[in-house]
Amino acid sequence: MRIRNLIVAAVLAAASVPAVAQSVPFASYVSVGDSLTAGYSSGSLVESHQKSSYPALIARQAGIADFQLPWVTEPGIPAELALVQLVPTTVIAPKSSLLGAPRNLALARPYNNLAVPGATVIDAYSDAGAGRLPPASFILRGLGTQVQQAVALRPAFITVWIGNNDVLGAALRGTAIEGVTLTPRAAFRQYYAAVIEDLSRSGARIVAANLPDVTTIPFVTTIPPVVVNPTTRQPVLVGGQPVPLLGPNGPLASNTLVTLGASSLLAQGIGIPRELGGTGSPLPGEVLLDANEVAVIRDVTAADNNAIRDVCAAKSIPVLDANAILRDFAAGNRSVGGIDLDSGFLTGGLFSYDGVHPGDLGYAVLANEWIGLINSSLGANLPVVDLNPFLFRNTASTRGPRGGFEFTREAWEQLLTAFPTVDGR
Amino acid sequence: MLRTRVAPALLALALAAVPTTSHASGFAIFEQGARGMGFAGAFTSQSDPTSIFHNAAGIAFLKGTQLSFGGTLIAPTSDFTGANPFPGEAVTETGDAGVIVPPTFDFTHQFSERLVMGVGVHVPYGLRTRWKNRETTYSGRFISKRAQVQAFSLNPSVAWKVADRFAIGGGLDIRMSTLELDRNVGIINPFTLSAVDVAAVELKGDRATDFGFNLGVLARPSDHLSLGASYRHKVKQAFTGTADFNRLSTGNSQLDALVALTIPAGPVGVATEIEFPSLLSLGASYEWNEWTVAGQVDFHNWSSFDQLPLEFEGRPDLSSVVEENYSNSRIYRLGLERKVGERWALRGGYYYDETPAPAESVSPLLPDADRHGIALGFGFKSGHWSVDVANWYLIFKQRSTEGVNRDNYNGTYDNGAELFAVTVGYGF
Repeated sequence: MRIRNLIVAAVLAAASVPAVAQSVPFASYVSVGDSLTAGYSSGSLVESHQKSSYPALIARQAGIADFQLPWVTEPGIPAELALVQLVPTTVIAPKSSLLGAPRNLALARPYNNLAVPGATVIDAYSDAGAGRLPPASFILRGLGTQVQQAVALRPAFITVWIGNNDVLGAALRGTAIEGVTLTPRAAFRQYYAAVIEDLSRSGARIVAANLPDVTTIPFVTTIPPVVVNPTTRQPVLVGGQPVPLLGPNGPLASNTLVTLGASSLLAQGIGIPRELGGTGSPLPGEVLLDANEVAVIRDVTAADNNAIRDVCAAKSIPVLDANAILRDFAAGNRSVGGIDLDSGFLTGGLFSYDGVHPGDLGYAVLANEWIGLINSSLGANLPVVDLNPFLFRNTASTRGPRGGFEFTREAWEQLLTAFPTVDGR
Repeated sequence: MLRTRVAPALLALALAAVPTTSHASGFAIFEQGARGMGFAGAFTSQSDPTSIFHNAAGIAFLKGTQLSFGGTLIAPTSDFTGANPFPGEAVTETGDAGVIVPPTFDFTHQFSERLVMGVGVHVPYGLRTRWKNRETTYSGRFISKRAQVQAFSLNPSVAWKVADRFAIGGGLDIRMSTLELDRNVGIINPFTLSAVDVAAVELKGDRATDFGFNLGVLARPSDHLSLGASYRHKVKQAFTGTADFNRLSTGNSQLDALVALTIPAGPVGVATEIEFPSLLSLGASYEWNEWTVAGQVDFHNWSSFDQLPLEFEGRPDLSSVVEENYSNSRIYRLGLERKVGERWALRGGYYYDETPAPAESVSPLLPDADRHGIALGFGFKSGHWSVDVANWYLIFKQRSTEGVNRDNYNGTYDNGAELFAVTVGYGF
């Protein structure tokens, strides 16, 4: 229906005034990217969230009927994380020990959403090291790289949001080393240019997005660097002062970020001084980001975003400022209808249970940002997504209390496996 | 003497009256007497006991002792259609303000050929918005389920006829106001990552009493022509009161336990303030045989209504500031009267009222819009008695939030109202 309207509008526009901004033929739309484009949510790729991936929502708003995704059945690959218990201790763990299965493998052409969770900019361009990303086997199916398959579909429109995994690993691993957990900036620029060059050759209209600051995501902002009373959830005060957690170099500085990976360790008393009932042993560096590491991540992100800006500007490709959008999320500027939304873990409404990826509502808000840019820069007129069904749905799920940790070790390891280091190829 | 005898009775009358709604733009109310309403409110250059509201100088021309009282029956309607992204095109909501009756009461007494004093009770500012299904599914319930502002003005006034054709007047504006605001608190349910109601808050600002003043001049340069100007000063009112929090079960005991750590149960002290704007009216009227025509422009200094702070005692986390950022607005009025015999008068008029609310402030709390007003009325006099009746039919322009509402609650409001006023006068 909507497609027909678009086509009619396009025909009328073409017939009357040739100079009018042409509407984008969305019938052949391909998305290239990583987990954020795949619709990865709560540590999992699963169809219930893939359908809220921003490319799927853009396609729906554009009225595209045949937008194919590499659907994965419940409980997802890997199994989706769930909030098992909220009080007295918050427990997040995989909801099953089983795995889902791909269910669209027989499609006789590349998928429209080609995004591979874990993919770096090099992975999008090159086959080398593809084996380190297990989902590639059922998304790319040995038919070539994301870029090759995207071009093979002869699309009229492409979105590309790649590069997040070139910085994310540093936050997940609490270690910021260019060449190990961060792609060297020169290599990033080179491969990003190569990706855009090849996609451009397809003749498609392209819209890109830059990289958010991963030091603002709940995975690294939720746990304060001080001892917290598990009952009141407020910092323990001794002599009126909060008590720092212990790291490899002694008490943590107040600007140290503690990742969700520390949660299962804290539950065992690791990182908590003996006087407060802990073991007195330090948290390992792999669950901490000190001020220097944060600075390195931000510096590399800024350099990568400059590369994205320069490469896209040379091809007149509009760039979605995902960095600013995620900053807005963190600042709580995305509240709707009197409900406060922010980047807070569990209660902020925008992020999923892995603390790294958006939930359905977060993806819908992102989809509207993409649609806004597509409309303004390409002269399209896609309607924005109705957030009401995402904000209000009554699927209350409760489970009985169970002993356990906040962000379980399984949950953490599942993330580390899905997002390997950039030097692993 | 006058004040001590009359004021307590007037006050009792006023406070017993049913609350009111906003029927000039913003939350101003111009329905102050059916005779003036017959002229579509173009009454600054004329004279009857309700001049205590319209132009204090007007009472200088009243003989003997005059008493006037009445009310305006107001039946407002409001329909809302949502827009994407929120609350979505599928959402429609309906207002439920009911029928409301703001009162007027005026009393004047001529002490000498030149001196007339009086007292009036009016509701110069007021607001009531209320939405259907507000306790259940109403999509704006986290912004405002019900809002009510009542500003009573007890207005002792004095007017002096400087010359036969020229009078000045003024009044003390004793403003007694209350404010109520009901809404729900919603949070994200961590189990569903979607929104859930956790508390219903009833906020009540206790009666605040503050003082303003009003001034006016009325000139009758010829037997036919009258020129009037009046000014009512702004009044800033600070309210203190309580916000009653009633927790609502989410259906999940774990979440309820967590909510209990952050959302209070019971009353919390609350403070807020509103600066009610000043109003300047300039008008002229011309009488020719049985005809009177009157025109007027009102300048409403709404820019003083810039924000509505809500400060919860000891709970800065719950406190907020509702930005309003109103701009100054004008109202244009034109009215006509034809006398029929000694006893009857027929009236009609039109006004155009500009909304002071920017698109971002158009909300369930106050979905303001430009409006056209069409007035019809008549008057009847017999001996000491007079009766005036007026009907206003308001045609509101559709008002879209243009996608920029501050709470990201966007859509289009379609308002309407019919008003019916009766004022009874008695002259001694």
